[in-house]
Amino acid sequence: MHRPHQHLVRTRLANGLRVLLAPDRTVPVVAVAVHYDVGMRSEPEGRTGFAHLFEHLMFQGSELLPKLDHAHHVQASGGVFNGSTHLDYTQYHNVLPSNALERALFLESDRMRAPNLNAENLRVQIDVVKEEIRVNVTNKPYGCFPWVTLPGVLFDSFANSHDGYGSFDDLDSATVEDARQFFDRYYAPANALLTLCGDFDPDEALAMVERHFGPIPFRPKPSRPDFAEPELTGERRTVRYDPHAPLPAVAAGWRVPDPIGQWQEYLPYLLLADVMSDDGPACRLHRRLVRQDGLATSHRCYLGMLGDPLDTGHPTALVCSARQTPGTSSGQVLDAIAEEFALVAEHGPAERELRRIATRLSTRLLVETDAVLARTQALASLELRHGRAELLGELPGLLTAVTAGQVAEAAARITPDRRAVVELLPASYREKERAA
Amino acid sequence: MTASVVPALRPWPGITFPDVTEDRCANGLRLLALQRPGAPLVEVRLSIPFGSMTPGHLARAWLLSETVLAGTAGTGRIELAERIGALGASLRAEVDHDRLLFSGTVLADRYEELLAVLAEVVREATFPDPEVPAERRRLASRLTAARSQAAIRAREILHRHLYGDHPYGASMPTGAEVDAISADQLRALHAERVVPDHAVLVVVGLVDPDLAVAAMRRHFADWRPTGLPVPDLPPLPDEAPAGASRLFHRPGSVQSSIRIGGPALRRDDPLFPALHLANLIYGGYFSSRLVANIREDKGYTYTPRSRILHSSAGSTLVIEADVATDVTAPALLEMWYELGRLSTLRPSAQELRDVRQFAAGNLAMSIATRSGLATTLVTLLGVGLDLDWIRRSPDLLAEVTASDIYHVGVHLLAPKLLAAVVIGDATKCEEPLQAFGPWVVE
Repeated sequence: MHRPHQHLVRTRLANGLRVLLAPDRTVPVVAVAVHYDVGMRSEPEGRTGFAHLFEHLMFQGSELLPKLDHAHHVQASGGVFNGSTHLDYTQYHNVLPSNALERALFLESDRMRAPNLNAENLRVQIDVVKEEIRVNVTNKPYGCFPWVTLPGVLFDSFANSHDGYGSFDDLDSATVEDARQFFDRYYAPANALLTLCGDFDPDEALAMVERHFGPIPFRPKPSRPDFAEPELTGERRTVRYDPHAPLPAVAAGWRVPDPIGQWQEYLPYLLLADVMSDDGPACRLHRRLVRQDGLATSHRCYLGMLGDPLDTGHPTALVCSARQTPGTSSGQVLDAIAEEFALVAEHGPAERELRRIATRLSTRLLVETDAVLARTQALASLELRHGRAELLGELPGLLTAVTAGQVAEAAARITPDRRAVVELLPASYREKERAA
Repeated sequence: MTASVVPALRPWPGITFPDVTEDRCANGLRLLALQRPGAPLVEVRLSIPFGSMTPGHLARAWLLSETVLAGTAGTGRIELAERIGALGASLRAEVDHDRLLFSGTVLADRYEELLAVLAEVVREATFPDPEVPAERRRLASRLTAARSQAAIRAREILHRHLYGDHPYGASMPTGAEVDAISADQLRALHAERVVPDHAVLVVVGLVDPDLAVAAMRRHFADWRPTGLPVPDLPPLPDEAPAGASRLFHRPGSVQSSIRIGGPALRRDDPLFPALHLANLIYGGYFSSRLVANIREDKGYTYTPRSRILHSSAGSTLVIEADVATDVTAPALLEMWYELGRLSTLRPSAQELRDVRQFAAGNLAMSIATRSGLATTLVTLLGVGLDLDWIRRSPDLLAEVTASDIYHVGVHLLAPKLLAAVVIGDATKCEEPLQAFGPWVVE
């Protein structure tokens, strides 16, 4: 079953801003999202964490509006807002009762035109970001594991390998001038996509978009670098000690085909990840790691460093991770995972198994994009990377068409000699190793 | 706010309410079906009252929710998961102090088959032998991992401090409690409590509500009732504990997790709309005083917030902030200061207008998705309310005055009425915290 056909309207303003409209009048809610085509991969060397820090600065007022006003105007309309920074893009969104559409368009155009970048706000937001890192990473067992560590093992270039949350030293050295340059270069209207989804009349909405975003002057769109890297020549490993984790965990990542340029080769990996580990007890890693061997209490297998298979650019990875049971070694877990991929490579998934996985995946896609905000973001990601938001509606058919043979071919690439491994050990283990 | 350049709002679109078709089986099970257009999906929720004063109940309830989908008389665990997966569906069980909740999502043309699976599970779950010990080990290990998280530990310590001997005083079971449970005990608990007598079954999505109710009846009408009443939990303490605050030592913690809590009002209390708005003004949304103060002005924390938690036995105000260790005492000072301000001064007309509009908009959006509608409905039904509560709320919120906010501030939000706990590195934050009175360090 499919979602009723989504009517899409596209345009581009004279200043280069791309606009995508997805009207849906079933609920009186509207989402407005702006995606800037710049993410953590593009932050300058010595400025790790800058793309994310800059996202915080975009909420600090503009030439016209004082600090906190953006939040105030959205929330006083009954709406919610947020932003997030990804490897390849940064997005800002507002979800509001539909009577507040023009207000949201004004607010997004206002900060696209002239955010207020000053030293005082920068200082406070550096502190806020540090607390964000402490609460999500440093002070939390398994915090952001393996995302903050694995890229550094799997990749070599600064763009692909650094921790996008950033080091405290790099964050502390950020300046207002850095922020101005970053804004001038990457936050041009020609480098952005505006997406509207929900309860509005397209003609009326386009007139509002032109009114608020049209006057923003043109700046050239920066060219998007090629981030590709040469193949790994052998297995790579690292160990990380976690002061709060009670038990070890392990993660491995493998490079996969270009999610955009090799879309046909990439799709089977989406199914492969779910054949290995969806959220039920019938998947292969659950049967093997949890039930048969008792090596793990939980496991994941996903595509995209952030588990974002349809958002990510090239290069990216298939990632497996597991929380281990007491007394087990990472080697046992990795061997079992390797055997499971080898089995799929040799025999392929069973037809019935593949059908179930494709059905589950399609349903999950419907479920996850049912809410207006999630649908807006999925449409925007596909439009940004592929130039075709229509792919959202086509995906169920594309997934169903993937054959067992294609999944087997994908699995054949997930071998021990191509993997990058991060072992996470409780910090107490380091003391024991030193003593021994 | 600088109003002039910001476009005005158009007329409020109002909240759209789907029609509810309702029925009740002779065994007591309430059936509700709602049609919602959009994706061809159906949400299924089955909520069963699960509160108990019996010692050890919480651990048994948690393990039951982990194993109830582990097999039925006719279907093994993997086969059951494959049957659900083939429908493109998901089905899970979760439990808290008040209820056992089954939640499922399924393609709209297959929902009756998911109802059949659910009906089989509630009547014929077997808690088979190899599955129960395996899930028991997993749960014990997950509880250990959960307790290593500051936020979960903080909730546990706050609840124990606020609720004492009340069943809510233990927010989760211990590994030892879970280890001691047998499959027979789970079977006995299932037979006694997984019953239709006071349960509610809700279906929301692309369905014909009359046909859906008929389908629910076909699958659940012969579920055998026990005829027993639901045990009532005693009400929560009506005052926060007096005396020393609690400081829990977490070695090497680079942040302190500050929690402040105390009694709040139920949703149907005449003063609840005022408390709801007062909470928003304090720390209940981004544009609140607490966020402006300790995040946007001082940079002490990433996510300060305050919330009202509703449960069968009562409601609780909980204020949270995770802050850098060296600003533990200064952050707590500001949290108390903003409470003091709200309990001694009336809010401005602008603040009141903003939170009213935010609250009404949020209600509209809470039922704008299929799953949000299903979850909101089943939650309200669990405490004796229904969608009518949401329908009436905007009017009730509109009537709240600055004096009402001041009134609930004085009676519920004054610092002396609330209790604090801190989880952090006590070697670094204990001394400065002494400024606020005595602390018991654990």
